[in-house]
Amino acid sequence: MNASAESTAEGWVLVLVRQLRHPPARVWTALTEPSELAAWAPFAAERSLAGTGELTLTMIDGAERVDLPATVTRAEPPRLLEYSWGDDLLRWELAPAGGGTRLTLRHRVGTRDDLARAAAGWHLCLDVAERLLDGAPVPPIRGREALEHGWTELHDKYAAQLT
Amino acid sequence: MPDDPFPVLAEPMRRRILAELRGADRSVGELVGTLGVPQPTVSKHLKVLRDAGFVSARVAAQQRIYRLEAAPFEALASWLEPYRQLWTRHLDALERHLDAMPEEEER
Repeated sequence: MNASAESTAEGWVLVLVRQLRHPPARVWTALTEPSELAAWAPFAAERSLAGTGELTLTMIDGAERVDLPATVTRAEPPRLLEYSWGDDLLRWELAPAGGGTRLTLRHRVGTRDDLARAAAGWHLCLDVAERLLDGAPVPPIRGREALEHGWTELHDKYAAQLT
Repeated sequence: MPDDPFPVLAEPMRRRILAELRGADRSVGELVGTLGVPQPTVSKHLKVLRDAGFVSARVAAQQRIYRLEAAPFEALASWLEPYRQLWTRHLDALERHLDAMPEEEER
C-alpha cells in the first residue's frame, strides 16, 4: 500500500493508494453498505453511506462504542465517496485499473502524529476488506484488536515514512 | 481533586503511563509498545486514570488518544503547598543558623 502525507490549510491529510482485485461497483458496495462495513470498517454505520446527509458512525473498540456525528458530502457511485467522521474527513476515490480498482483514500486527521496511526489502522482494515471481497472473510480487526495483528510494527513503519 | 488521588498514583504502572503521556498524547497501541506490557493491563490502568480525571481521551484516526489533564496535578500541588512552607521554614532556619556562625577564614 502506498502512503504519503500532505499538509493543507485545513490540516494533515493521509493519502493511501491501494490496488484491489475487484471492480469499482463491488468496492463501492463494501464502502457504503452497513452490513459490509460491519465486516471490515473501524465503525458501524446506521444507514447506507450512498446517500448524502447526516448520520452517526459508531467507532468500535473492543466492548467500547463511541458515537461520532458524520455527514456524507459526496456520494457518486461508483467513483467518489466523501464524508466527515467526527473531526476527520474521509474521501474515497475508485478508479478502474487492471480489471480491478485503484482505491485512493484521503483522510484528513487532527494532528501530524495521527497520520501513522490512521495509516496502520486502514492498512489492517483494508486487508480485511479485501478478504471480504474475495469471498473469504476474516473477522474485523479494529481498535485494540489491531495490536494482535502487527499494528505497532505497521505504525512505526508508517511513522518513519510519513513524519 | 478526586476523592483520594493517592491510591490512583500508588500503582507504579499508572505513574509510568503518566510519565509517558507527559511527552506526548498516546494511543493504547503506542503505550503498549513503549511500556512493554499487555494491552489489557494498559487499558485497565487507563480506565482508572480516566475515572480519576488524570487523563482524558479524544477519538482520532479510528482510535482513542489519551492525554494528561492538568487539574488533578494542580490539586495535588495545592495539597502539597503547606508542606512546602514547612520545608521553606526549615531552609530559613538553616540560613539563620549559617548567618550566626562565625565566618570561616579565607585560605
